[in-house]
Amino acid sequence: MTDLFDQRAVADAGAGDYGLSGDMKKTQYVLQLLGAPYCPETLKCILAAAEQGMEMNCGSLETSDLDSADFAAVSDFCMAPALKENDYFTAGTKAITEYINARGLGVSLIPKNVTLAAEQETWIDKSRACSDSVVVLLGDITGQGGDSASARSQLEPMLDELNEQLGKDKYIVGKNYSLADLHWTAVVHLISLSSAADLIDSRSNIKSWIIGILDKKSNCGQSLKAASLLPTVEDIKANKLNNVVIDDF
Amino acid sequence: MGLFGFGSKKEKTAAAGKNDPFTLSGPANAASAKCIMTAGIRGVALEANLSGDGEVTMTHGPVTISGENAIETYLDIKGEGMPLKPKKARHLGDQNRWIEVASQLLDQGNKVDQVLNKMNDILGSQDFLVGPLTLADSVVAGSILTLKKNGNLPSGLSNVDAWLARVEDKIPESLRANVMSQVN
Repeated sequence: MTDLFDQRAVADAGAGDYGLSGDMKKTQYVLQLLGAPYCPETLKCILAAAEQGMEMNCGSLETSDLDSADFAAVSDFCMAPALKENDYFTAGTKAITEYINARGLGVSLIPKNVTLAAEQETWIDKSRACSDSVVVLLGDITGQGGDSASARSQLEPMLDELNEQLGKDKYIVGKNYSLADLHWTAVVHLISLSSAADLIDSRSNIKSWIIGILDKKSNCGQSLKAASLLPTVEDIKANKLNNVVIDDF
Repeated sequence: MGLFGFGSKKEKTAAAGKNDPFTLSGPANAASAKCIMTAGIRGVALEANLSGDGEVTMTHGPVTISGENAIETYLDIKGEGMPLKPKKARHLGDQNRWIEVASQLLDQGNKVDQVLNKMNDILGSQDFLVGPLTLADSVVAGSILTLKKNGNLPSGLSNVDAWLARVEDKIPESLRANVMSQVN
């Protein structure tokens, strides 16, 4: 049976080199991710790897893969997104983003203050509650249908709440960038690509926050801007995910 | 502000006092059962007033927290001794994968038999889901006890039953009867 990770998200540059650019140390492993470019949960994992300076090769799944024997063989209970690092496997956004946060080069994106850490989790849950509606809004691009009016009305109160929260401070849970910002970056980016981009444009605090996030250098101190790896409309149409390549070790 | 004025900015937040009670409200469902089990294992006396619908919420003095993940995070840090959240990245990834399995599958009634059979296999060779005791155990136990309460837990899973007893045993004796009466 084919290993879907090795088929779609191969970690090796080939020709005896290692890493996506071929100059990575053998002591580090390239992460392999399986997900989809229209899925906010997948994009959160890519942002986490870019923020924490971990190379990641990303392969796209088709909807039909989610119930396939090939996917079941690499992901317990067919959970997606799914991550592999050499002999280690995990799945689900919470598992992948926190694993990368712990493994990566940058300082932790989880606040040390207990109240802020809890607040971060609340905002992460709110962003996850938006995911299904975001996928529906992208129906014009992906060709997958859905009730976009209903998706809009589900997102509006959540975006109002986020807009209000961002009026209080620079980032979602205070003065420092956290995993909550990373989660909402994926959601806001995908809404901006959809025909409902006005949901973002009409909320000034979200608008100025996302402009800052798009221009922010990665958390690990490398020159990469994590948000530059988010997919374009063309990437989504082609079902293509961008790899995280670090070229300034 | 760190040494020499560098480092991330520290922020002041509302903080609860030592004697402030922990109070949980919201529906009596898997989310509240997970919070109750986490509080129990962390040695926190949690007063639960459960009824109706909506989101599970906890207050602790001036602090109000919504959502099961946020409450579990708060209780884990505020509890007695070392937090259950593992430091080792692989254990952390495994812990969180089980937390996702609980919320995405067990609590939704999806793939319950498949998940439980896998758990039964794993728990035949180790005491807890990840290896050491982690939040995965308190959270998944909350989901499984809710399935049991609703008559949806398949029988014949001896390793899962033994694991539930081990998890229950981790709750301090002074709190155990009260905790288990709220989730059973």
